[in-house]
Amino acid sequence: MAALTRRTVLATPAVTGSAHGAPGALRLRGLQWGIGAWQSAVVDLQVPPGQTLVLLGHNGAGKSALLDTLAGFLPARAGQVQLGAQDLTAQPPEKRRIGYMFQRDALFPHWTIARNLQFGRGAQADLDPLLDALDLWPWLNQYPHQLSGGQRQRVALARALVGAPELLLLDEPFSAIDPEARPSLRRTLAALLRERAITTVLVTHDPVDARLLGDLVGVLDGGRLLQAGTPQQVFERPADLPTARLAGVDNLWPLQVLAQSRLGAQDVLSLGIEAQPVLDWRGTLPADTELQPGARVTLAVRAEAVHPCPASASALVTQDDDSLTLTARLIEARCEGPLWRLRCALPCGLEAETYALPTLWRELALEIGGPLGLRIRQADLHLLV
Amino acid sequence: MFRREARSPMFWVFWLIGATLLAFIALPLLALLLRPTLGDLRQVAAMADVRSAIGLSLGAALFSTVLAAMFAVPLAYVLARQQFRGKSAVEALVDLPLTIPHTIAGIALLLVFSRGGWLGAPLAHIGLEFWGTFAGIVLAMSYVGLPYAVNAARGGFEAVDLQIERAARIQGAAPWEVFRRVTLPLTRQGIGTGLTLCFARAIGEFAAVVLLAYYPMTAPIRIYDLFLQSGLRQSVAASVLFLLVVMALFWGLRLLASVRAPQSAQDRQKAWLH
Repeated sequence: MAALTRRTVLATPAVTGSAHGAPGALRLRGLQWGIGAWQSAVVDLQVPPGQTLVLLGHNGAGKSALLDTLAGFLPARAGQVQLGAQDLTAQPPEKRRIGYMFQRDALFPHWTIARNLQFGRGAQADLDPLLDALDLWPWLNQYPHQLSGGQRQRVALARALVGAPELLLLDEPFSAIDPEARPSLRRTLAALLRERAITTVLVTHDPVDARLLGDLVGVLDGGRLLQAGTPQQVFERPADLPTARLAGVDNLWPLQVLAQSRLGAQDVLSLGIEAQPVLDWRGTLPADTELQPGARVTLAVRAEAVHPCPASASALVTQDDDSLTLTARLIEARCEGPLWRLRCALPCGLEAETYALPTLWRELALEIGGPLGLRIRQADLHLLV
Repeated sequence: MFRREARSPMFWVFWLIGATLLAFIALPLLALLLRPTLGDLRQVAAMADVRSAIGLSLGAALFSTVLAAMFAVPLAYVLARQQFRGKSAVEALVDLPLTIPHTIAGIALLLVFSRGGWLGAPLAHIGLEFWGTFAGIVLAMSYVGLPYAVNAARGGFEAVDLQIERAARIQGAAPWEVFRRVTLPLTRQGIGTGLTLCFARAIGEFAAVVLLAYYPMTAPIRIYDLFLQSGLRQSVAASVLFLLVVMALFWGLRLLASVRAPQSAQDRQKAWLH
């Protein structure tokens, strides 16, 4: 998880960093946007030059409205949109030098693909590198309706990138195409973003997009930015329950604090359900957090951080310094591509999801209803208070 | 599947009712077309005033259609794209000429555009008079035809995805250029339908025109005049002549539209609707 690439940076809400004033950095200063009676909260955010911010949120979170505000189609209700040294807030869309890929491709249906790409900013641009990168040569003289959904989205992406825009906006770029065509377009987009280093804002409801394409991930819910940070921060340390849900955390266990103690420098919380202990959590509580016995918390752990292993014969929970193993019962096993997804029941009534590689699945020789162990590193148990 | 549905008793009943309606439309026209002899038609065609009345109707309807294109298209676009307070009142106003009897429309126009009217008096100073003039005919025709142009063009604009216009703007085109190069070409069919309806309504208008400009006589007024003066025989022949000219014109327009919309454009339209 420490594989931070050279492009992975620092931006969090209201960060002012070294990118300040650099060309191409996108800064939202106290931005508030809205449609009709709906209005977002005030958001401060910075995307350093060449980085991709993926905004994750459900329908109605205000993602597309934010893109429309960045593009100039909706007026900002308050605050500023800055791109490099330019203040875009009052500029009309055609002056902003922004590439925008819409959710539905929004290609010009009365023109060939070539004319689609040569319109506006594309009139003077060298199209060849884009046509090569997106493999569009065979379609140049076709009309949009003669192409498949995936091909049209490729053209839409090319049109958004044509003429070297300073900011790229992508609205659910994969939602309108067949699931089979998504991985290929996702790979192409990732390569293009890396190669061209355009400051990009991509909105999606799919955590996979966020993990694969985001240098930064923001979580939007009801017009509020719940959390922003690196994908590692957001996916492994979600700030709260809604963020954890949006980030696709599979195991969210509602538990009760039974006792709090300290072991060396660590806080230890004994967690359980209805006074029955389930496990001990070890870590460092935030400075101002005081958890009394009886306080309700949620333990978040991603399925990929839960390792299936043979069940312990002696105890329901075995615990060492940096990990614990829970005994569980297998309820369901589904083959999902190259992995087995296992749904298990803990003796306390909670359910746990985990993955197993096919080799491990064969080794464990598990049966539905049979026992298994679930080993989890303490560092992967994330406490939401 | 369609065939099987069409054979069900419900479709037989619906066809029967529909056929009654079709007969109701066709029979009077058939009776009209079969009534005059070739001699009668030759006789009215030789009458200079009938020919000039038909020419005047065509010219004035064409002129009012051009005016409709100039004034209805911008309003249609505003109504299709913008939400504003009082929009439903504006929509009701646009539809008003469809709902009021045209005799009343003619009298109302008279109050505004006759020599002593609100606008008629000042416009007369710059030489634009409407009482008994070509301009008056165009005005009356436009009044009754404009709602068709506005509503059909509006439907055409609404069918154009807003995102396509936005895509054009974000690519660097100013609103005028987006309208000219993207929106208008995509709405050509809707606007064409609207203008055709407007022309059809205008060329046949009698009540509003007769109140503002009895003279010079348009074809419907001349036919009525012939009916009063010479009876049914000549007025039927003049009617058939006028009808044939109008039908030939619309048939020509349809032909022109199908020639100008080659297969690829029709495919595009289908794909777009899809």
